[in-house]
Amino acid sequence: MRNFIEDAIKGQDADYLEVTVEENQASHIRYQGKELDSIGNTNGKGGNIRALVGGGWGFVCFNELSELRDKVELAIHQARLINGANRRLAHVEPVVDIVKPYIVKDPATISIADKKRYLDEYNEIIWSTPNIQSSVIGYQDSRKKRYFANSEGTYIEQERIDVTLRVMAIAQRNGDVQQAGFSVGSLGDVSLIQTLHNDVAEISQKAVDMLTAPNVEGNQYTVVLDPILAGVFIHEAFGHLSEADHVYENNHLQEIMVLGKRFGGQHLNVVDGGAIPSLRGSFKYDDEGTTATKTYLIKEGELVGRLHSRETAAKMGEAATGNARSIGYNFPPIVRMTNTFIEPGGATLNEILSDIKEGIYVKNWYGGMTSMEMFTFSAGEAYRIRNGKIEEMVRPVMLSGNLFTTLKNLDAIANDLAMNEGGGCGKGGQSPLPVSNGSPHIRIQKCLVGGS
Amino acid sequence: MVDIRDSGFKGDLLSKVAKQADAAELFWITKQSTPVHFEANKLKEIQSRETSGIALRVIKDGKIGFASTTNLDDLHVLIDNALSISHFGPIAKLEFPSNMSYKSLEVFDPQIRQLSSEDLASYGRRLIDGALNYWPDVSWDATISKTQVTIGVMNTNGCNAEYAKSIFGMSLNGELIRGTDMLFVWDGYSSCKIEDLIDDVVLSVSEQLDLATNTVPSPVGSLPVLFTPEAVASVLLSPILAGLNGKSISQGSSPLANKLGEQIIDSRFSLTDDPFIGMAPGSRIFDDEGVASKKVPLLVKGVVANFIYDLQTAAHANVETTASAERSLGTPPSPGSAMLVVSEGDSSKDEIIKSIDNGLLVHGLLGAGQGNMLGGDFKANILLGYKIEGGKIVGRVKDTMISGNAYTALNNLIEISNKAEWVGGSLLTPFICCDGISVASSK
Repeated sequence: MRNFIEDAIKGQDADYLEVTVEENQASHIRYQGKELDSIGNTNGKGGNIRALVGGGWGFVCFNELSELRDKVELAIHQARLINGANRRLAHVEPVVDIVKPYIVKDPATISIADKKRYLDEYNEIIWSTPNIQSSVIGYQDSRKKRYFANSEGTYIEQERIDVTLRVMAIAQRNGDVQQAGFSVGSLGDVSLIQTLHNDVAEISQKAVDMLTAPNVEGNQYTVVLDPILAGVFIHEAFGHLSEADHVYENNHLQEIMVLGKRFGGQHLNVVDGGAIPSLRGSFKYDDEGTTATKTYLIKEGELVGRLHSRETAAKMGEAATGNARSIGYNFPPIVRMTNTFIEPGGATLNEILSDIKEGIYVKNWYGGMTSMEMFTFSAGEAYRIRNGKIEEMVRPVMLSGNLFTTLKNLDAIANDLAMNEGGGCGKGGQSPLPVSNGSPHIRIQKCLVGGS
Repeated sequence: MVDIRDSGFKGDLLSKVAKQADAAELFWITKQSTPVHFEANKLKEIQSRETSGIALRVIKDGKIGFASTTNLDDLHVLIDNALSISHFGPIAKLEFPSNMSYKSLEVFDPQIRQLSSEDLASYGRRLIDGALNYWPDVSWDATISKTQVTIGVMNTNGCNAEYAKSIFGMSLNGELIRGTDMLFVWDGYSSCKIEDLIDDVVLSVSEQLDLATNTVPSPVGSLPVLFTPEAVASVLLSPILAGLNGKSISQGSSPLANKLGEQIIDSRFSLTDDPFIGMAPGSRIFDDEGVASKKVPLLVKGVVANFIYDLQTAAHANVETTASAERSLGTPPSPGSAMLVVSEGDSSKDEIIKSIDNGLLVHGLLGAGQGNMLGGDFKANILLGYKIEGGKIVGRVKDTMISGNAYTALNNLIEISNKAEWVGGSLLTPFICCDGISVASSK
C-alpha cells in the first residue's frame, strides 16, 4: 500500500499533498421493541486526497482506488482554482510508523450469536418490567484501518476498534410516554457489553417511575451534575469553543478567546487529549499525521490552550495539537475534540450538596448542542435537592447556559472523576465521531432549566 | 474491476444469491458532488466527492440478512456476510415487490452536471459579496454545491429500477460578534434544478440581522409563540413524525398508536407526504425498496389519516406499505417521509405578528431534538428569536428557553400563515402560531 500511495504523490506540483486510504468493517445489532429490528455487516474501502496549492485546498474522495494519480491531479486542479487564499500548515516532524489497534477484548472474539444473546437478555429484562411499552437497543462495533502518506515523508498505518451500545426503556401510561436509558462505549473492548444486567433493570424501573414524577417549573436553579452529564456540559459549554477553527479566521473571537483570559474560578482545570490512553477518543496520530497530545484548555480558571489542526495552528502562530480528525475517508480532517474532561477537585458529593437549600440534581444524558456562546444539554434523570439531600425524582430537564456566565457560576468540583465513553460528537456534517468526556460531580449556581 | 453502473453484474450477483436464499434484494447508490466552501468571506476549499456502494438483503429460512459494501472488488464477502448473518436475523414478514410501473417525475436537471467548479465559486462569490454589501462587519461562510445521485433497486421478484436525481444548493451563514455577544444568522435552499435565489437569501439574512440589532429582555411565562417554517420543522413536526412512524406504531410506543381516524389536534392543521412535487429534492419516483411512490395524507384537518410504513413494518401492521422506505447504504430500510407539505392558513405572517400583544417569534433553536421527543415534548434554547410586543417585533431575545408539547401546542393553535416556505429540500410549511408555550429566561 505504501508504494501505491507514495507513487501517486511523487513529483506532483503542489505545496502539500496527502493521501488517506481506509478499509473498514462494522456490524450492528438493533432491537426496537420486543423484536430484533436489524442485524447486519458492512465493509468498505475508500480514500481521499487533500492538496494545498497557493494557499487553497482541494479535496477529492472516492471508493474506487484505481487511477490514484489522476485523482491527485484533480485535487491539485481544484486547489489551484482558489486564488488569494493564504492557508499554510504548521510544521510537524515527518514520521513513519505502523500502529497496531488497542485491544482489551476484540469484538471479533465473541460470536454474533453470543453478542445477540446478551442483547436478548437485556431486552428481556426491560420487557419483564411492568408498564414498559417499548425498548430500543443498538449495538455496533467497527474496525478501521487507515493508510496515510503525505508529501513531507510521513507514512502511517493506524488501526482502531470502536464499540458502542445504547439501551433505552420506554414506559407509557394513558398516552404519556417516558424513557430512560444509557449508552456505553469503548476503544477495543467488547467485554463492556457483557455485564450490564443491573444497569438495564435500573433504567427500566426509572422509565416507569418517571410516569408518576412531577414536572419542574422552568426557572433558574442551583444544579448539581453527575460526572456523565458534567462531561457533556464541558464538551458543549467549552470544548467546542476551544476548537481553533471557530476562532482562527475571526478577530472578534480571538479577542474573546485570548490566552490568559479568566473563564472560571481557581478550582477549574479542563483538559483535552488524544494522547490520554485507552479511551474512545484516544489515538497515536491524528488524521493529518500529527502526534496526539494532551492539552490544557483551562488551568486554574484561565484560558491556556486550544485545539488545533496544522492549518489553524499556523494561522494563530501556535503548535499543532493533534486534533485534526475525520469520521471517515469521505471527509477532510477538521478540528475536533478527543477525550475532554474537568480535573477533579477536593470536595465530596455530600459536601457539594450540603449547603443547597433547594436545587436540582441531574444525571445521565440525552444529548447536547452548542452555538459557542449558548449551549444546551439534556439530563436523562432529575431529582429535587432539599436541605442538602437528593430527594424525589422529577421529569428529565434540559439545561441551558451562556458560556460567559455559566463557567463562572460553576462553584464546586468534587473529587470523583469518571469518564463517559458512550457519546459521539457531530460537527460540520461529520457525525458521530468517537470521543469521550468526563468530570467529577460539579455544582452550577443560577443555571437555566427548561420547564414543562 | 466491477462498475456499479453495469446492470449485468448486478443480475449475476442476484442470481448467484438466489441459489442460496429464498429471496434477495440489491440496493445501490452512487453520488457525485462538488461542494465549494467559502470561509470568513473567502473561497477556502473545493471538493470533489465520488462515492458508491451496494447493499444486499436476503431472506433465508424466513429470516432477513443484511450486508453492504463500498468495495466492489470483494462481492463474495458481501454475499457471505448477508447469508451468514441471516441465521440471526429478524423474522421476514415482508415480501419484495415485483416489477411495477412508475409515474414520471422530474427530479433531474442535466444542466447541473454542466456547472464547473468555477461556476459554483462565482455563485458563491456573488452570495458573499451581496451579503457583505449590506453587512460588511459580519463574517460570512457559504457553501455552493452540485450533486448527482443515482439510486437503484433490483430483487428476485422482478423489480429492477433506477433513477437519477440532481441537486443544486447553497447556504449562507453569518456570524456577528460584538463584545461577548454572538449572533448567528443563516439561510439557504436546495432544488433539483439550477435556481438563482441569491438575492432572496441575502435579503433574508439581512432582515434577520436588522431585527436582531437590539437585544431585549424576554417575556416569561405561558405565551403565544410564532414559529418560523424552520422552527415548525424542529419543534412541532419532528415529534409528530416520530409518532407517525410505522415502527413506533407497531411497537405501541407512539402516543398515536390507537388514534387512526381520531382528531388529535386543531382542525386547521393538515400534513401530507407528497413525493410528486416536481424538482423538489425530497421527491422520489419510488422508495428505497423500489415501491412506486404514493401521496400520503398523514393528518387531515387534525385527524390521523395514515402512518408511515415500509414493507416490513407494514407487514407487521397488516397494512400496505406507504412507499416510505428510506435507507442509507449501511443500514436496512426503515420508514421515513419524503416530501412533507403543511397546508396553509388564512392570515399573512405580518397579520399574525400584529395580533400578538406579548409573545415571541422563534426561528432557530438549539437542542430541540433532545429529550422525550416520542411523547411530543420539546425543550430548546432560542438560538435566534425575537420579542413581539404590541404587534411589533421589538428586538432579539437571548438566554431564553421554550418548552412544551407538540400535540398540546397544535391544540392551542392560534393561526397558520397563508404562505408556505421551503425548509431544506423536503418540507414546505407556513409559519405557525401556538399559545401556551412555556418560556423561561435567565435574568
